[in-house]
Amino acid sequence: MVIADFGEATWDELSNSINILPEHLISARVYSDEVTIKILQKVADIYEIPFDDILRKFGYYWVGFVQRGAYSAMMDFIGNDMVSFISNLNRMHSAVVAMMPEASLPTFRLVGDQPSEMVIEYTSERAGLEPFVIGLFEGLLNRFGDNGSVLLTSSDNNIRIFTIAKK
Amino acid sequence: MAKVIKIVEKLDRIFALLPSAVFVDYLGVIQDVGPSLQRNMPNIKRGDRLDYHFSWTGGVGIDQWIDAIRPDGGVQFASKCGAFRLTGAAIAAEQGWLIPLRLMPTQGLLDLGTLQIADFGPDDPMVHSLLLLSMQKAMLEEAQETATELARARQRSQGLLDRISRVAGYMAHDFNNFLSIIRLNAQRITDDSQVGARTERLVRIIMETIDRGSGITRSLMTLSKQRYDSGTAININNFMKENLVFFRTIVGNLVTIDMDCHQDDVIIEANQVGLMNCVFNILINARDAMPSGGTINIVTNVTSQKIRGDNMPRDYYSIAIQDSGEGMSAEVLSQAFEPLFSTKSHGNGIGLASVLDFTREMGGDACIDSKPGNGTSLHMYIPVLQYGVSQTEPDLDLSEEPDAPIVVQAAKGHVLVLEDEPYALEALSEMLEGWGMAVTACATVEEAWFALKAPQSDPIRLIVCDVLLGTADGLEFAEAACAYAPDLAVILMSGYVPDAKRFAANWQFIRKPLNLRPFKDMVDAALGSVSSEGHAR
Repeated sequence: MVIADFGEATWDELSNSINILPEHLISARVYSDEVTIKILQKVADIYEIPFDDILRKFGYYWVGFVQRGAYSAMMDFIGNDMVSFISNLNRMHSAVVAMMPEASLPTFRLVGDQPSEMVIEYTSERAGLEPFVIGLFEGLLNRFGDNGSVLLTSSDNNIRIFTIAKK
Repeated sequence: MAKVIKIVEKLDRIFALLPSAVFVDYLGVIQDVGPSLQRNMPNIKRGDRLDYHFSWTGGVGIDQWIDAIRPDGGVQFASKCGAFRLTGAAIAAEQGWLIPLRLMPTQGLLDLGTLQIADFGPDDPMVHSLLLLSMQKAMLEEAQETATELARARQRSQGLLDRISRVAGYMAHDFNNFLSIIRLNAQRITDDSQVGARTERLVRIIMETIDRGSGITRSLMTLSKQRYDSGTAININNFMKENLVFFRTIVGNLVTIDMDCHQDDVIIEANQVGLMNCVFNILINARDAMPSGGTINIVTNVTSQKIRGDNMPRDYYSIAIQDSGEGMSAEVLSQAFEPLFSTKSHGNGIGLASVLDFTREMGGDACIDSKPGNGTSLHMYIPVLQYGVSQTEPDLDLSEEPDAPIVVQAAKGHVLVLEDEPYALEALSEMLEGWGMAVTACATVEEAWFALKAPQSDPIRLIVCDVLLGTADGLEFAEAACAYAPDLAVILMSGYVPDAKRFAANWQFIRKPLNLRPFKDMVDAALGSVSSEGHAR
């Protein structure tokens, strides 16, 4: 995302400044959120963009990145509309955990599906990634050709409720 | 007979659990199908006979099959459109038979990528397996992309390194020549009996500085040629076989590599990194020539032939890499080895040029056979070093002892000096004359030939020859001169270490800038005289 949106010079600058190594860039490898956060924080600092905005942008970018790359067939397998995709995300995550047991992945539960809105319960032990999740949902809306706005409507311990208002 | 149950009003819930189920009446006519079959077999519709869309194990009619079914018996279905296999059983229902089927993914279906999680029941373990397979496939694809990117990066850096190395090498060589001239002329000053102690001290400083400068240029020349100079003895068939898995990663899943290695005991001398780069480059080209997949045949063998100036046939190890792609037109073929020529949008035109460059530096050659529609075959030839046990060639002995006072003995003989740097030629000639020799000084190969062939009362017995003479090759001149006059002794001089394989057994080599003591010993030995310190040579 950094190279695509901000150019190689920015990437070179920040990867040198925070010591990003090649092994940090392998997609099928579990690495600490710390690396991702460091990269995004650096971009936010360089361009004076709020960190949450960068995190949200990264979530949106992530969906497009995965669907363009080697994992696109897997994305197709999970579902070809918003409801089936979110309903099947947990099954995909359980397969990821089977392959990478050290991965800590969230769960998603579709708790409301009305013509005007979807309500999704998100449970995660990792805090502070809510803007990223909003970006993910926005990316998925784009993937399935839908329009809508995503809001974090409640947060209680590890459980957050997101509402997607469809347009 | 199985227990009859009422299911028609529950079909929606049943189809949610079993998305590939079919409900048929007693005559085998389809009454409803689950959402997965609706999605994947859009031609199926209510009222069609089941056997119009499916065949099943046993191949009997629907009535016989249902009659023959055992309560615990299963059945396998195959869709007549060819893509699906399903497994399940039949349940007797109030108005027919419910056949709860489950998709069995076939390779074709997986490759098509048409399946979705919704095609399977909520707890179907097949989903987990398919997700794992899908992840594994994606990881392999990423690994392959990374390997290809790595190979391309190596190709790019190799091309850049080649250019920098050449420039550095030429600069170092020229600088070394200047050092050589300074050293020879500084020596002329010290040879002057009138020189004072202060001048002698200044000359010594100059000499020491030359030695330090020479060390730097030597390091630079070594570095500039490091990639290919550091050849090692390689059992080449073992090398090819050990790297086959890596080669397969480079070409990807759509391309098959068949390898047929002959003559397992061949040892060649080559730089492994350079050799690997060559094979990579050829494989990437072959793969790119077959975007829809195909086969690459790698055949290795030993051929006896004359290549690039060989007087006699010699044994070469050949690696032929043949693809089944579209081949090249005559026009493309004629330019394929040219640096910076590429027919690919992302090509840099360095790959094949570096293959030719490498094989030639290893003393061999490369060529391409290709015709439109008949694929392309690239052949690399590298000289066989030996058969059997791996052994490297001994290095040239370049050790030089520090200068000691040179005592001039009456070493007589006629020496032809061929050196294209006029100041070096002048200094060298004067020095040899000072050592008691008759000298014919030549600045060009043409002058040297003229002198060699001219009638002489004191025939030329020794050639002292620079290796790099502008565009001329000192080694070629030495070879031709020895063919003309077989008794000639030869001393070659250069900042580079030339290819020792081109040396005749009795030739001597000395590195520039010349260290005079060993040089005089060489000259004396060549002329059959007495060494500088009086011991017999």
